[in-house]
Amino acid sequence: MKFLWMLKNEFKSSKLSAFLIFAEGVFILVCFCICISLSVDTLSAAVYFHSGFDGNSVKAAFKSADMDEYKEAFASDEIDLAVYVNYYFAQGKDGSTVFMGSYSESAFTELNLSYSGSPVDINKDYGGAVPAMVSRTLSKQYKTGETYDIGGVQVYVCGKLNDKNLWMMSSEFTGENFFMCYDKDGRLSALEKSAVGCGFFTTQKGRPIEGLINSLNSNELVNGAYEFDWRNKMSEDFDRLSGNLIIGILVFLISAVGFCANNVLTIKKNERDYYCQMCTGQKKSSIILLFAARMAVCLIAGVIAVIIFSKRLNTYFGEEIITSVNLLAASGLCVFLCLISSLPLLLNAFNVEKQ
Amino acid sequence: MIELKNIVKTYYPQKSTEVKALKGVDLKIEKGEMVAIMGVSGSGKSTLLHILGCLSKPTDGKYFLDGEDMNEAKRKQVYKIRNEKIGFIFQDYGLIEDKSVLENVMYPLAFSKNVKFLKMKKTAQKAIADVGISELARKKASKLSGGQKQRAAAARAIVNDPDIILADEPTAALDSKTADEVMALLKRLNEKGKTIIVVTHDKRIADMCQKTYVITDGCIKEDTQ
Repeated sequence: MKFLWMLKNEFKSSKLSAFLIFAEGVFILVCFCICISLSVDTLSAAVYFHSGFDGNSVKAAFKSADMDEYKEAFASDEIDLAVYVNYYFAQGKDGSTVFMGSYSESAFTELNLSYSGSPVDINKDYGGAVPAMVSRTLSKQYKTGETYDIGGVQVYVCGKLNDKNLWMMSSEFTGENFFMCYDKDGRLSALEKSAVGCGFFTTQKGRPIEGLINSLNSNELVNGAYEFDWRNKMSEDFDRLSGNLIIGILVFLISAVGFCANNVLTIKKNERDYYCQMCTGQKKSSIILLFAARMAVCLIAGVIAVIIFSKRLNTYFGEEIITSVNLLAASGLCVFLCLISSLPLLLNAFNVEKQ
Repeated sequence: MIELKNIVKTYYPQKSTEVKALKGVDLKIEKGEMVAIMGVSGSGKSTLLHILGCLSKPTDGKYFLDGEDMNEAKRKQVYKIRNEKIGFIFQDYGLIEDKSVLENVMYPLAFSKNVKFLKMKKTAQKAIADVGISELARKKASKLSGGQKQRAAAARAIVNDPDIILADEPTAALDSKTADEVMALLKRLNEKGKTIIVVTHDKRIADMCQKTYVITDGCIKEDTQ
């Protein structure tokens, strides 16, 4: 209770500084989230390829309208893991066309899908319905946890896929309106009587498929086997990333200067107060703890504000850039900045000899 | 109660900027005494006060407080002593300007383990009443006059009922009438059994104390005149 009372007083005596930390926190979190989301795929792909890929290229993707062709390729000894899909047209609930992707079991067990709601549980019975994940653009019409009749097939919506998973559907078929279904019993094949396309993704033996797929653009999912030159691709991606890196470093520097300036002014303003408090028995450590707690409260308020802002902003930016992982990483950077910008100053503020 | 033995304090030792602030100070102050320490600016008064208040350690020599060797005291113990045994009054009052008198006086209680949170307000109000400024309890420190501020500082110094009050030039920023009022307040506290140590350069203030020590170039001696 006493600590909370002191914390309340700390806020009362430095309202402007607290507001500035909050505002700066929001700015840094948003900027860092953007930087992270622009860089993370390239970095994870680099880690993926540089940790044991042989040669410079790999057979990466295959798409065909001929089911037999891909089944034959799928049976190849060279392929250790594949994710395949059949695409179907269907009439949605408001009469518009939606695209149903019937995915292999491996899509639900091997891929680390980015989603909200629940994933598809391949062992669960969804009351006879086909379990599916819905794309973000369809999620406003098709709610998680509901069952819908789509072209005579009952489809249960387990969760909402983030746009990050759009690579799984070729844009020429789907746009962004699609269901990712697990159709174990082949009920979707009744839709419009035929599949309109199929495809699969493979990777080198013993390697996870996801890192490879994440590094491909949808226009690289060409018909036929595709020899993917990953070294060349990495080099291109890193050239692009270096531009982001400069922006990231600039944001970091501006933020560091902002935090330092704020902390210098706050500590200088309160230096005499700290000294007087120490004379009345306040510990150095608890002054530092109070300062840190004040900063933490401002930053937590910043994080909450960014979360509320991103939730209200029902767009790609709100849902795919300000993700919980990005926000967590950005918060870590923010805390690091706070520490390096305030600790040396705080420690220096307790030099009794100069009071 | 307070005993300093051959206290030496050197700043920046063995450097070109070395300063010997105290050069072997011996001092004994008994419980319940009211003592003035006089000296010109730069004579070592504040350094001595810092050592007496356990805010800094001497380079050499021994400091005993109630028989305890303060050089050997652990940090936690020193915080406790500063909170419970010593009250500080400063020339510039040392109040947090944007807080009320009540909040300022409550601060030392927040660091004390002897007073529970729910009792803090009542205890602070009593200390404020003791120095005669109850009507100012809710006023911000920045809105007070110099004399009122020094009384608020005195309330803060006595709120934990310490045995010793260290007053660093408590009247320097006050006119002579207000200075007399503050000194009268310190005398009253002394009559209640508190040990009062006043650092001053004003002979008139020193004359109000029972003993006066003069500090010159880091050396101290009793003024017997």
